This record gives sequence, C-alpha cells and structure tokens, in this order.
Amino acid sequence: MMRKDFPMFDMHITPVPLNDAEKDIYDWQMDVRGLGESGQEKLRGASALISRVGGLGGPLALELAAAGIGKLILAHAGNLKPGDLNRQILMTHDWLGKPRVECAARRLRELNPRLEIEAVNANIHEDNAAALVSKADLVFDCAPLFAERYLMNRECVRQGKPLVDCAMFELQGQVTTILPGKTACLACIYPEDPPGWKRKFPVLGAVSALAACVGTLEGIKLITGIGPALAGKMLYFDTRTMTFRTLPLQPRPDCPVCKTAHAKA
Amino acid sequence: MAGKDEETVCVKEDLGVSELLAEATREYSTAFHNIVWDAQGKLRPSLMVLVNDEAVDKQNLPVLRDRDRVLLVPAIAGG
Repeated sequence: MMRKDFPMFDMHITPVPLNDAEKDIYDWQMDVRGLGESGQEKLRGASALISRVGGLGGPLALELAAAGIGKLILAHAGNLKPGDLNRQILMTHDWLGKPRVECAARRLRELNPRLEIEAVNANIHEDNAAALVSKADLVFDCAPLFAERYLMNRECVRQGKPLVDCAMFELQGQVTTILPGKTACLACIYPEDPPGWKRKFPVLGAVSALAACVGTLEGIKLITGIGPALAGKMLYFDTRTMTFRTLPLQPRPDCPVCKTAHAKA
Repeated sequence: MAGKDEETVCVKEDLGVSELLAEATREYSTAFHNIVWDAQGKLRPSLMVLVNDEAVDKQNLPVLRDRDRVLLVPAIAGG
C-alpha cells in the first residue's frame, strides 16, 4: 500500500542508473527507509545551484556531494582570505589569495569524482540570476546579503523551482523550504531586509554547518521524497540555549513576488 | 542580536504584546530598538512576532495570557 501523508512537490527529475562502484559507495545510505536504490538514482539525476560556498554553502555542498547528487552549480565570487578559514571548510590554507569557488570545486571532486560541477566565479546578481536558476532542479540560498536572497527567491518563484533558504547569525539559524505556489516565499516572510544588516556578521563554523546540514536534508527529501520538507514552516534554532522550534509560515496575500504563483496553483 | 536570548517577566494583567515590546525597548539596548521598530514607531516588516509559536498579525497584536511565550525572530542572512 502506498501512503503519502505529506505534500509532495514533483521536481520531474530523471533517475540515472547506478553503476556497481556507486552501489558500493551508497550501500549504507540506501538502507535509509524510503531511500533505496530508486532514491539514490534520483539523487544521481538531480542538479542544484548553491549560492555561495562559504561557511554555510560549503558544508552544504560537501554533504550533497557525499550523498551522491549528480550536478552542482556553485556561484561564489572572490579570492580566499584568512578571515574565511574559521568556517569555510571547503577552503585550504594553501589557496589563500586564489578564487574560492575553484578551491571548493577541487575539494568536492576529491570526495566525489563522479560529481559534475559548474564553478561560477560570481555571486548571484540581476544579470545572472535567471540563467543560473534555470540550470538547476533546486536552489540552495546560502548568501550573506539580502539582495542576493531576494533575487534567488524571485527567480525560483518565477521558474517554479524549490528554494531551500538557509541563514545564520551568531549562534542562531533559520531554515525553510519555499515551494512556489504552495508556501510562503522569502518576501512573504521578510517583506524587506533589516536596515542594520552588515556583510560581516558574528559566526562560528559549527553553527553555519548545522544550518547547512539541515538544508542538505531538505534538498535530499525534496529529491527523493523520503519525508516532508520544511514547506510552510521554518526551523528556528538557537544553539546558545539549544532551543529548536518549528514555526508556521503563511503566504502573504499581497506579496508582490508570489501572489501570482499562488493564483495559478 | 539584542544581547538577550530569553527572559521570563511578570506583567500586569491583560498586557498587550505591543506594550510588552515597548517596555522591553526601554529596558534593552539600542540594537533591540532598531530590530523591532522603524523610524515611524511601527514594528518592522523584517521581524516575525509569534505568541506560543503562532504568528500574530502585527497590525492587531493580541493581549497576553498567563504563561504565554512571545518569540521575536529577526531576518538574518549569514551564510
């Protein structure tokens, strides 16, 4: 008997059969209830865009690569600086002064040489957002600036792509999955960015990585259907007090970004 | 962001959420004020306000009951 007790989002992913080497590599995780070889084949056939591969997007990319996703598109501008090394675990000390996205791609290929990687030495901006989002089955938002986050949100809603939004500050984190036409979008949740937000924020790498692992699981659940995503909900956590809450989110009827998507749904 | 994770307070009966936030603003830092209020004295759109983990209408803030828990969730974008 097939029973679905959570809303599904059909991502139209074409499964890719596994070869014998891949069956060996994913042997342990294919025992996860509901995943199996068919779920692994969906992961193999899936592609994801990750906006920035720093403290949050780096471990997220690493976990997706380990889990066997087929393709990653990494968007991250700039060269590696000493101040990145407390949290950006895809980086290496010998790469200081060189492009971060190249270091990230190199490290990910060391873990998973089967992974297809498109490394883009640019952040998400108005001129590249639509094209980059169009290349992926789903998008992971790990950017440190609201302008980038709102751009990805707009493009994902417009193109009907799921967006896993992961954010952190100091010892706190927030993760939600945005399903266009079904859930609140980022502009529903936060209609405007907070005026005091600064590019430099207090961060421990373990907090970024925690948000990253939750975000990774959201993506794996969307691709394989092994469980309900945080759709219409936000996981909010504060690791200073080790408080974890799942908060309800409602679409805003007058949201200029997603009201049309909801009307069509 | 406001320099405080949580606090348990005793308040007068039928205190509104808006009055609670006004009292907290007087007590806490300027950072708290800037997270919660805009220049016109309205609650910022970039702040989620929840009572007992349910979002509340910021135009129509409820009155608090005994043991209610008010949660303020500011927009963050650290990556």
